[in-house]
Amino acid sequence: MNPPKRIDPRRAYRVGPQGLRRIVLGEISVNGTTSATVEASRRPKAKPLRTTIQPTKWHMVVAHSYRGRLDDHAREAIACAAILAEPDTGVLVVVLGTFQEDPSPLGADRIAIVDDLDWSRYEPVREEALVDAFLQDYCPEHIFLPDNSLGDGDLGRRLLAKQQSSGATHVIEIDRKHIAIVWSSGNRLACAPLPRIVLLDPGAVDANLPFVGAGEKIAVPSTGLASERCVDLGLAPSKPSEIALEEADFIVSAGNGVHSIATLEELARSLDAAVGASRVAVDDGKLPRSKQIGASGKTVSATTYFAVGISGAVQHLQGIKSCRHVIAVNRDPGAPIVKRADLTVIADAEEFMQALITRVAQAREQSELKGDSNG
Amino acid sequence: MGDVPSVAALVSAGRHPLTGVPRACRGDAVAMALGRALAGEKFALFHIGSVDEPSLRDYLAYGADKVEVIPANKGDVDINAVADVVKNFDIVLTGTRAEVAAGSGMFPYMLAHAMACPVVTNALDIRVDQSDTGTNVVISQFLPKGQRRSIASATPLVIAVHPFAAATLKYAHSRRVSGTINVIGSVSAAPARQPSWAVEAAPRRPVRLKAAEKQAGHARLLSAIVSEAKGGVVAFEGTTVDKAQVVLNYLREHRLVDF
Repeated sequence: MNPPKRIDPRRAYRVGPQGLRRIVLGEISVNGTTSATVEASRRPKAKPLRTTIQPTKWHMVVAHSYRGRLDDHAREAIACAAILAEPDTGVLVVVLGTFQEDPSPLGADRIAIVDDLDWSRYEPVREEALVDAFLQDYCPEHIFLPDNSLGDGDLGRRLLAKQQSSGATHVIEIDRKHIAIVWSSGNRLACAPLPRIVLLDPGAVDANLPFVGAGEKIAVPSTGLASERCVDLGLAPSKPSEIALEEADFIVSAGNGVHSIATLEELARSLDAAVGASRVAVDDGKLPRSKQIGASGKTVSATTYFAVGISGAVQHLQGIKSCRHVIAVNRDPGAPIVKRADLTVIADAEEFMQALITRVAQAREQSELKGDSNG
Repeated sequence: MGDVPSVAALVSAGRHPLTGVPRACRGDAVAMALGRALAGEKFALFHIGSVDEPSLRDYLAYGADKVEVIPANKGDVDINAVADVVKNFDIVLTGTRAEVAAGSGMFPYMLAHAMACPVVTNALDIRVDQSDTGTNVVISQFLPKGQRRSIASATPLVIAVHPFAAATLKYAHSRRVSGTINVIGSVSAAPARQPSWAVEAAPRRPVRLKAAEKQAGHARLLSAIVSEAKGGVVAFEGTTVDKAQVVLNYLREHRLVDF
């Protein structure tokens, strides 16, 4: 006689994001502990290579790096090239500027890093000559660029004007067969067959890939001397207090935990940052409404966001969605901002700001001394 | 005054994105205002398209005395013929992006290619320096993250003006009525270099391209309950000075500060 079926109340489980026990289907618990396979699933599995076939055709991506990394927009362009590639197609990435990261998770099979063609320089003729050299060597089937104002949109359009091949800009939807753009800046789309040169708008592609590329680094072909027709007179960073908050690259933001705005502004000055605020700080009259960041204020895209005394309500987190590095200072280790932040300091805002201002001033002095002794 | 450069501005027909009401395209109107400030008497405004275009009167209201219209059909303009019209000008100004149709932003590049002269885009401010070697145009260029770049170039030159450029636009109805619209020449048609766009009838959201993921059902269920590895380092320990050092180390490690 078969024994009655019973459900083991201590069967294998793991703790979900909400802190609840979740049973794991198909697993049998050993002595009431989670089994080894569950532990294994927690570890990120190594992703397989996209293709093991020697490439005969190529997809090419050209993008500028910013502060030594490629931004999400550039990653999307590389992911697009990798997703649309056939098994016998390789993905060639040309990074203009420094790049230290591992290129294979981005989907790149070969990568050429051109250190001396940074986004901060304006050398259109040399850029074009370099891309032409790659075009001749590889004859890529498709060329993908992020359509941004860092220089890639400009380069892509110059290529398009020069090459007699077809191309499209501001592409918002793409697949193997067709592309689509927004028509007359309204809500209707217009479709066309996939052209050779594609300039992608942000958000057209999901940059998460289930595979990796070979990530082989290659040498940059020499292009000889190019005579530029335009002279680059250099960059002039505008003062953080003068530009719009949406444009700022470094924001120091005040929340309810900040009592002295003067200290916060001093910290922002010492870090060359713009000043922002959460809704509470603005409602209290500490800062003007134009500084409010969040759902009912501004949406910012700074590389560094320094949240001082901000607990991180969802409405505020919406406004800082596209910030790359979030550093939080808060007294409450359970505040929602801790989950979002890349680095959280549990401290009193006032004391911490004073300490950081002193430390930054010291560091600046030391680096100036070092610079003097080097020079 | 022989040292004032001659400036031509090419403007497009503007449409309000939601209502479709004809209006001056903001970027083009700013380009026109910059051109008028630079050249004064030696400024000319061109439109390639229909003479009956209703938005042209808006450009007159924003300060232009007259608009020269070169009749052409939509979409198939021979860029070389346009280049012939504006080849005698030192500086040719355009907007960054048209409001109707594809709005690819390709026009200044194609024009510069046809004229064999350099193109500078996203211009915020244009200054002309006269020197012994010739006219030198200094352009302040918009870059993201609050950066501005200065570029110097000789003439002739095509400049696409960024909509953020500081130009005051004053609308005057009397100028709208008194301004004139002239027709000059015509531009021959050429095969379009743009892809042939098929506009969809109904509005919809664009579909994001995603890599196809082959996963077993069990793996998908697992991934639904596994929290993403999010949340960074938390610094509890030490004095505030130590914590300040932790933050400074983080900023330096990711090269977010340059000291």
